[in-house]
Amino acid sequence: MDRVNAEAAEAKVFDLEAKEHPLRELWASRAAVLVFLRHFG
Amino acid sequence: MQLHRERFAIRDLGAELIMIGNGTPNFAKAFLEEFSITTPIYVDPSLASYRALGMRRGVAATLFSPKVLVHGFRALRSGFRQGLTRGDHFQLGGVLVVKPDDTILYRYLSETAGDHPPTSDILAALPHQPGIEAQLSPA
Repeated sequence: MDRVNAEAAEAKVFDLEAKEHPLRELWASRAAVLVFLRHFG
Repeated sequence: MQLHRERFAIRDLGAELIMIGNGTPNFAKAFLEEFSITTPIYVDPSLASYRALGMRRGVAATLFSPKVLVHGFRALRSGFRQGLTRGDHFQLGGVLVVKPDDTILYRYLSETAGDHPPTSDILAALPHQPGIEAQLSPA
């Protein structure tokens, strides 16, 4: 099975408090369904 | 948002629904309030994660493809009205299901605006399918 590439896993995303997280943190403790939105609104 | 309605089913099947948008945290907060989103939500204003995962971007795919017209008509018919756009207009999205060991259980890259995967396909990809525990239990 494919794995998430390193570039994507290390990409930085921000929470609602503008705190930075590496993308891989989002699936670190349990499986995640990541919905990448086109845009807000 | 159909997937948001399935967030409890997703949790029962061993995963967490998380949204990622391409605007700023303030856009995300407004979106969260407008659509009563209760799942975690993050933003990637640089679009680095979108690019690294192969998500498409382009004027034609977001404005002029025949699929856009069909999806747009269907959405209008079901009552959706596009409000003020916040974020990159031409970035398309997708869905990824990932396990803690980085394995991708499911991937869908939207090809046009309004192109979304069937929710049933996403649910079928999740780790804890009903009946699995019964099959694995010792007799």
